[in-house]
Amino acid sequence: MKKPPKLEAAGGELLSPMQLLSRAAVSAGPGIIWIALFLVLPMLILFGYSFLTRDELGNAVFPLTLDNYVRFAGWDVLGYDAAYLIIVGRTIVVSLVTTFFCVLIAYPLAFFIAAHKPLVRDRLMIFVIVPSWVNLVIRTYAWMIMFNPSSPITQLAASLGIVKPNEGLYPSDFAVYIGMVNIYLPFIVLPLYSAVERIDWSQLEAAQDLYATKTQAFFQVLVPQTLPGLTAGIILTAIPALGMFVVPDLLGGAKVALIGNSIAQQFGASRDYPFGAAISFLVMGLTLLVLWLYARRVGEKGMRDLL
Amino acid sequence: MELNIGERRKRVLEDSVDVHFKDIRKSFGEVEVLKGINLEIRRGEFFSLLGPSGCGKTTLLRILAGFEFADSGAVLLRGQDVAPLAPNQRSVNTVFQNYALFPHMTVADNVAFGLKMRKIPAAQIRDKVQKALEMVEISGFADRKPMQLSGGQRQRVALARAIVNEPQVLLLDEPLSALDRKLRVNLQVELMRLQARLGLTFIFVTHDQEEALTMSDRIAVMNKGVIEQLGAVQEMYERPANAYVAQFLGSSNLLEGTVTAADTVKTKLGLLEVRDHLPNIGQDVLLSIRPEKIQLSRVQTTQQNTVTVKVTDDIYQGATGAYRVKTADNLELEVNTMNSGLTDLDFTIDDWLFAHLPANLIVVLGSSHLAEERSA
Repeated sequence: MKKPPKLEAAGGELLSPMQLLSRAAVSAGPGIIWIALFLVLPMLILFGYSFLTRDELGNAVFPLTLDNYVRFAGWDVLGYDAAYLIIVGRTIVVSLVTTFFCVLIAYPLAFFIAAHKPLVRDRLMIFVIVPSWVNLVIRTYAWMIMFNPSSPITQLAASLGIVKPNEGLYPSDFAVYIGMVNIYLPFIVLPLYSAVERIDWSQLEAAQDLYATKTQAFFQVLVPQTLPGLTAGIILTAIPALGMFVVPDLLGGAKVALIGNSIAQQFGASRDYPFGAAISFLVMGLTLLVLWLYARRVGEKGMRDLL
Repeated sequence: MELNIGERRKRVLEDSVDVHFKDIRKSFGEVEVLKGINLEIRRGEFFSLLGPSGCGKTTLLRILAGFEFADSGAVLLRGQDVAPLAPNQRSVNTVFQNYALFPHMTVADNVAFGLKMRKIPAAQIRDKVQKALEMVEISGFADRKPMQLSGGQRQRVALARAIVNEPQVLLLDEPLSALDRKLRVNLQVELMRLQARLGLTFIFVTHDQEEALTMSDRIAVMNKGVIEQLGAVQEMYERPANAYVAQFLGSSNLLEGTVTAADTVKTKLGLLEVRDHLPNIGQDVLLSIRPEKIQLSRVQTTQQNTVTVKVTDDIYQGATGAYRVKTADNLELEVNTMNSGLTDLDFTIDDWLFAHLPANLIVVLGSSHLAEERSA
């Protein structure tokens, strides 16, 4: 006798494996194709590029080589120079400093917004979100105008002796961080706010009722509950900040190279696609490594909370 | 010492006062929510503050816990003025209405929180937490997070978290209101047992009169910032002081009338004999009789205080039956009966019956404290 096909329950129906598969293909198929076509495929091409050689005309040609990665690590035809590793280090510092200031501002801001009535909260959130709809380059140019020598802000700074007369507030590290914090602040405020908003404030009273001081109540009861949101915000800020090149370029006066600038330069002025691809993959590898270490520490549940 | 519930009510309370509210007044903006509350709560007592939402009962509790401050008046906790003490310095613990458990901590950590804050040695904390969890019968859930518990279990954790600190007074802010009825009744019994075993003073805030009647030694019925009546449970039910208490604590038939003789009041039901203390002849009085105290019958049993009525509504409630009856003058009375299965007590709509209002069960009501306050 023929064995009936194994049936599985799906949404209240009994389906054969073939039916299940076809339904899965219909529902998830388009998404998978989209990701394969526009994410996985370009990445694979880029990955391939990172093993090619640049000829005199700037074309990527065979033979396959590991030279691009070796060059990044510092060994060049002229001898050892750790320039790119220093750039990576500098980039990490810029990213972490940006994230630090974002957290410093976002934390009180999230609590401030969450402390209002729901209607007021929504309005306050608009002030956080809407600026991020303005194009990044436009916002950066706006800062350049604000920080040029003739702007009231710069003149105020000059009269206070912060900058020399007739000198702008940009290009400077200060201007770079202002620009970076401005861009990444919403990415940290949003997840943090959604964590803070969910907190039941009567827990503060409960903690005080249980002999905690206000400070203890804040740090032992409220702060731990904001950590998932804070971590999400830090990841959403620190990782994109690693690749940022427009802001340091414009507000920093292109004097200090960051990894983003270096990659942009390889794909642009230098026309060295293979080397640019190699740097890109190394930075991506570094990021994934950090994420993986984090994921291993918090476990599956922690990652789900994060998402 | 294990007391059963009946014995618990009869136990002799110490005379010492645990909590003393002295003329507490409190306003939020224009609204005066507490209008001079004077209240003494005895040591070891199960005391209930009963009233509708907005009557000020929770505010009074929060003033004692230290989360609100009275505009005037004083709160004494075992003779000591608590005004200069922050919430974390007061030896009272609260079971919050929504439990306010810490979601990022396990059940055991939640219960240990207060002890940790007081820097109790870790070994002692472990013992005490274990004991508290056993006392509320959730020791099997020590390692779970509050999110993984049912409402009743969370309630137990909140209770354990408070009693583990051995406070002088335990405050309970409508702790059972979020639970379904069956669970609520079970927890009521457990709370009473726990209270008797610990000998702690419980101040229980509720809007549920049945809950207050079941559990309390004494009740204060509050209304719009004043205490309408304060007393032992039975006294409150049998002898309500005014119309507000008569209707909030159980239900009552209210009858307006005029005193015509030392023991007679003229009402819409005719002349009623009343045993309760009556004011002078000629004065208006308000009488109250509980629905279950009116006796309905098909045949007249007595001449005294009996009127003929017609059944207008017959409400089946399982164990009890509720009837609405009307006199010939359209005066409506509410009458409750037990579903004893006796056919001569089973009435239907449009039956004409005799309603007997026993003279010794009619209560003369005074005026509301709120009304006095207003006229003063």
